Amino acid sequence: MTEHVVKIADLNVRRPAFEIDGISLNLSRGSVVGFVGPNGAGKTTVIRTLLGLITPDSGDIEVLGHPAGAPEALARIGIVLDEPTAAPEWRVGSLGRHLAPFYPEWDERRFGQLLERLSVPRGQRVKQLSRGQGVKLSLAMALAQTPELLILDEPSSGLDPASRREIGDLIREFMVDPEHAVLFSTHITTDLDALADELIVIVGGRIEYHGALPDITEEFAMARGSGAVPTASVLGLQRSGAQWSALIRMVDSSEFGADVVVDAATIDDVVVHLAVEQKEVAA
Amino acid sequence: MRLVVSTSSTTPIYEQIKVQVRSAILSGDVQPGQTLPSLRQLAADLRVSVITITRAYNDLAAEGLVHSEHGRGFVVLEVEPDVAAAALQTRVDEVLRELRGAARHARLSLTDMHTLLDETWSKDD
Repeated sequence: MTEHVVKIADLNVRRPAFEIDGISLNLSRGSVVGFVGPNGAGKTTVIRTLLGLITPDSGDIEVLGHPAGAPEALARIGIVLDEPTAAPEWRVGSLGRHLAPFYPEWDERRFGQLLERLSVPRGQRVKQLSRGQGVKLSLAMALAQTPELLILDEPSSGLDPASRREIGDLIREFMVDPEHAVLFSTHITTDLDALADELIVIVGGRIEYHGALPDITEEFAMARGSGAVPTASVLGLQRSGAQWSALIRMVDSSEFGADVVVDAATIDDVVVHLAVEQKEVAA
Repeated sequence: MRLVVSTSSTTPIYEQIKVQVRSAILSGDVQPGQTLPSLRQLAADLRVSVITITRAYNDLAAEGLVHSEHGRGFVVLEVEPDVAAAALQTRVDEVLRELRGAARHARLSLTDMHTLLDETWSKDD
């Protein structure tokens, strides 16, 4: 049993529409990893590459001990994309019959329980489901495969708070098994607060931060003030009239006087300011 | 042992869990040799991340209150009197640090705090 479910070394993907610039990362068993960054930063590209849907220009990828896209690996990965991958004409209740041949560990009883718990109507065709029901169906399908690795790509955009909470509960239940791992890409970063163990921030095809989620509050802080910015050690400075706000590294916090308010940074603060910073450095 | 966490409190959740488990151990509510709830099950039950529970349990292990045993989880240790005293001291230190933060925020001087402490100390409630 390998300790890492995903190993990516120096991944480069260059396409006209997107670019991954030398990403290396390992995902450990037992961890929920939040994957955040602005639109177009490369989150979906990384996910598609490790599923074998995109061939990288260079780099080594190993998923569950196999090369990206290997059937042995794919059979043990549950995938939740922002819309169901099942054929639109199929009825929800009959999906097990269609999918079981492709997934050696398909658990039809579990699938039925999940549909009931998530209130996804068995008699509907896939195309008749609402967006929220579609995401829940995807999650039920993914978990019924009895996967070791669960990958979610923006599942929660457009879902109501109760549905997002149900998804969180199911992920935490999945993680009761310490061999399991989750990669959760999302824009709704508050979904990660009580869920993720690690956080990866990706900006412009590069990893800008990868660490334990609680550590971001020890590593970063937000500084707010007015007038001149007292020091250069700020990231992604933003101004509104005379007011300014910026992300700072906690180690630099003593450089600021009493006229600057320093308080905790949220995941959103980190993502937004690192993205601004990178644009400025590039400009 | 009943654990309750507040997500709106300014006290970090791992801190809330740590404090509650620690008092359960020191008060004898959980006995030496008993195991704490499994990290992952407790995370699911309390709707918090695994790392949150891990940090709380690791801190308790560092204080000598529990011990991580492979395959069994976190086992409550026999609390030596000096460990119990040290744990209670830790709790006082934590509250003092929090108090210092609140006092500085409220711009109260050390003299103000002495007065307040004297008043609170002699009050019986």
